[in-house]
Amino acid sequence: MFPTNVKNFRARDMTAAWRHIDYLLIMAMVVLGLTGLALVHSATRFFPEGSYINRQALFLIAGTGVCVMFAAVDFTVWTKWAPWLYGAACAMLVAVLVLGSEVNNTKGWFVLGPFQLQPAEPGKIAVILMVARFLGRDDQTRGARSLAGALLILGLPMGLILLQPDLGSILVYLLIGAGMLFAGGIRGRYLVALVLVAVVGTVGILKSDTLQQYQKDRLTTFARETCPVTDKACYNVQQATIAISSGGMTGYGYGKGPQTRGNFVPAQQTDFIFTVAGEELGFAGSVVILSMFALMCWRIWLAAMVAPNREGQLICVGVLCMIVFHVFESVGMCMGIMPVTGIPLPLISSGGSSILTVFACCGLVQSVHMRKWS
Amino acid sequence: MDEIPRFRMNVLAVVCVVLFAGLLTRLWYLQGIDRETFEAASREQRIRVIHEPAPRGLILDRNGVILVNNTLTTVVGATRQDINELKPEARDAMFQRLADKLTSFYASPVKKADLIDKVNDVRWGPLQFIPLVENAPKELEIFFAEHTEDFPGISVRRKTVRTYPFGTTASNILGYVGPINEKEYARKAAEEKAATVKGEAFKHYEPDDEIGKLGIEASLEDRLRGKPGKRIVEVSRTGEIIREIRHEQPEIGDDVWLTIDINAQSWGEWVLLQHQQDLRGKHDKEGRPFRAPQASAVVLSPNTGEIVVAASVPLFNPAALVNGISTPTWKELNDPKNYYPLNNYALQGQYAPGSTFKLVTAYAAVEAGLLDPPNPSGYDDTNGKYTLEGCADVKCTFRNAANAVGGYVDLTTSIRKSNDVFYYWLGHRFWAHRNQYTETAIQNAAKQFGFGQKTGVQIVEAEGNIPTPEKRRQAHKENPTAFPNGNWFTGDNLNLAIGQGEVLVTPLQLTNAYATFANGGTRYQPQIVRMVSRRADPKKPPGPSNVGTDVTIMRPVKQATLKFTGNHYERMMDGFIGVLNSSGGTAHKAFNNSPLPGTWGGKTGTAQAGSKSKPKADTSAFVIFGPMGNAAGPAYAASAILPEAGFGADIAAPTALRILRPLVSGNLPTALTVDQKAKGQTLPSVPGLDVSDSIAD
Repeated sequence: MFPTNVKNFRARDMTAAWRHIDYLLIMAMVVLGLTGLALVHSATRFFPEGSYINRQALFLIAGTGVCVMFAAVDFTVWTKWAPWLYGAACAMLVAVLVLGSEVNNTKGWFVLGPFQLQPAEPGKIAVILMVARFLGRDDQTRGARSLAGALLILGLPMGLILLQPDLGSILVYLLIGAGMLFAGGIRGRYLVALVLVAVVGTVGILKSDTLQQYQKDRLTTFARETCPVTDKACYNVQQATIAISSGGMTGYGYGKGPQTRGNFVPAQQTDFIFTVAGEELGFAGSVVILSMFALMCWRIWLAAMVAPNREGQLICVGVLCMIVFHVFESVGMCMGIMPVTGIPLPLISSGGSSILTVFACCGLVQSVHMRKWS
Repeated sequence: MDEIPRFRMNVLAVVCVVLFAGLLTRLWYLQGIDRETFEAASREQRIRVIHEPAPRGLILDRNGVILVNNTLTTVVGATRQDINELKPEARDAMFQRLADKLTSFYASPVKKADLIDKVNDVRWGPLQFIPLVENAPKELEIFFAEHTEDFPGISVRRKTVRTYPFGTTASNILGYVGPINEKEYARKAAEEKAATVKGEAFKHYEPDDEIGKLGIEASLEDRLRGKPGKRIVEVSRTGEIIREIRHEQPEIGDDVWLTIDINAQSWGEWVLLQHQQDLRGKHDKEGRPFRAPQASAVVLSPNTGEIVVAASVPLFNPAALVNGISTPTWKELNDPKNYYPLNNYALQGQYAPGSTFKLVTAYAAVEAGLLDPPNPSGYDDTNGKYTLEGCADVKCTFRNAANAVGGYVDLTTSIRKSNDVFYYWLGHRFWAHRNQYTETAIQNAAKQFGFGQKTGVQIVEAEGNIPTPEKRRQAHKENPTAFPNGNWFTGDNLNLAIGQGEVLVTPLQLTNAYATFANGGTRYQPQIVRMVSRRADPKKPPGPSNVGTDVTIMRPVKQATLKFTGNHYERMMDGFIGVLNSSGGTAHKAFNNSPLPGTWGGKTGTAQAGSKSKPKADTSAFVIFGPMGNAAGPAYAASAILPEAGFGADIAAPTALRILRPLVSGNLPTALTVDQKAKGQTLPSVPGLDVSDSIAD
């Protein structure tokens, strides 16, 4: 079955990367990005500084560019460059401790004119690539040595972020790492041991004085009936649940949510953006949004399954864990079933660092998917 | 791909599905099941009601002359919401600047701490305008308008305040308004709650709102009060107003038209004041000083019960009480030396009626048939004394005033000459034959004339007191120390018959009793409010051409009908007319000196007031009604009562006659406004009282 016409054969080269673009993933991203744009506008249009819709649109456009860039370049090239990216990310995390600005008790932001850069966000890409490169090597033993190496790669940026301190981001790194170690094939007994250490460590940290009271409050706050005046996290969750719940089945209608209009939920344009969706679009709209995230996750999981090599697979798993955790934590905290940790909802929350990072990650997934025959 | 990662990838997928399912479940629980609870919480925290004060209705006299008016004043106030947005240091500095600024415009210094206390009074809502200082001068208003950024949350507004065009005139009828106190506020809040439950309208009160404290302002509070406006707004978390849901405009309160004629009222007060001055510094033959601590006069219409004059001195200045009463003012008003000007003694004063009470005893006697055959129709007073046979009491001999000897006294003469012995005789017979006439024959008659009970006038009044054997037993039983004697003796009935002892009446009750007699026996409820009306156009002054839909006109209310048998009514009437017109009448001289056109009847009264240990000059009382013989019935019944002032014929009679004369002849001097009084204008002076000689009472 040799082709008779070379010209036609070339046109039908089924291994060509562009033939394997995942359009469903793109669709989900477009729907979520545009929904986010609308929700950010609704959340911010009464702000004294004006609506954030323009900067959000700018980020989406820039994000699209970043996504295309990451997809266009073969993911093996990215893993090849991973040590450099990883080094740069760690350098930025060090720099932010010295030069960064403090926002909400966390020294995790570079302020560049009208924009803020949160190095912990792009750091996630570097860590995913670096761990994928390390665990994806064919000669990996998947034993103690591999585990130690991967933990070292994860530990350095996490340690730096702990100094800011940004608990939410650390949890994301933790979950990315856990997912990649699990999918990376580290032997079961090591993983069990790791989980035990993590549980003991968490309890120990909560019992000790390592964390500030407000940080403990955040981690242990779920929905409560009444909040002490000083407990801002509790107030935040209370207002968020009120907003989401009063939306009912169909919501107040876009731009008509009284909680949103009255700015009752602090950070309603960023970490608590899901409250806007819940109140104004109701159960119906919220389900559509969650479905889009589910679609994204399925496509990323699928990309992992069809990845041409372990590196590609691990990249997809890292991205999958990151997005799943972001969604579950951000939406769950708005509904009072997760502690308040300040994690944005991917593609929807206002904020450049998060959007660009998610676009880059999806670009990487797309890059893996496109090169499944290579 | 080897087997371990594939299995683990499936585990990852399952974890993802579980997480998404968890989110969906929670979402369904919140939005599908528990929605209403959270929706109510949402509403509660974002809906605010801002109340806007409404002007009170006006008070007018029977002819539409405005007695209580509203004028605009400028108030500097604060909104807590805006102030709380400042940082603590900035807030403190702002209050300091404000206190300094206000101090420079006011006579007394404004303290920073007071301002902070007012702003932080939690009874005010965060968006409410909290008044800080009143009567702000124009310069201050301009200053704050130009310096809004230096004084965030501070603004200047206009509000209406009560003004009293005639000053002290009728003050103890009109009353005054003041800021609602905590007790009143709590009561009104409870009333509002009850009304809301029943779905009734209620005029909401804010802390510091003005409320009627006395007089008509208090008793007609519910009508006079305007309906406050209401702005229902939606606010943001920081309390800024996002949108207005509803705005109900404030509505002015209803106007109250009194039955009082302000010219007659001011004239009455003027005569009382003049005569009070005449009396003071003098004394009676026994050396008891004429202090005349109060004096009062009532004029009412016997055909309707409308009160035309309810004059009472001393008076007070209601304008001084509008913005709350200062401590010195309060002390002054409650200093016994000033005889409590807040009281209206025409309605609240309680005095022994003396001989004016003989109307009641006479009526009781004719009603019981005590003077009808086979009983004698009169009593032969041979020595001016009435002695109880076989009496073992402390006092067994009762005398006429000045020991006058009456000769044969019948019903008519007894009234004309005010013969006490005749009434002792009646009182004795009532008690001696109490099995036939009951223990309380006289008291029952008094009750029919309206004594010993509130008349029902729409303003605070006293009940008076009609003693009965039962009351005395009760008092003794309850407090044997204070009332050592629980028995009723014949002598008590004799004292009662001439209006002495424990009998107390208010001037209004007394006047209305004679009005009842004058109109032939119908007792009307005395009324001081003629009409309550809502203006059709609130911007225009009230008047006949500006009466809205909601008008309440008071109709005469019959409270009792008294029946007279035979020709007793005419005989009594002859007696009362004789008091003024025949040479033996007790008030003949006074009436001659100051006559009224037409036929008038009347009765004098002089009641002993003090005791042996505490001597006091007598209470001087006089009642008059007429003119009789008109087809329309008598036009006026009037009384004057001056405690510690001497004989009724000497003091109260000329007082009542002088008050009545310009009213009857239609040449009442116009009441003076505050401005006219300030310029030193006065009403025409009245001749001084002649207190040098006395007529036997």
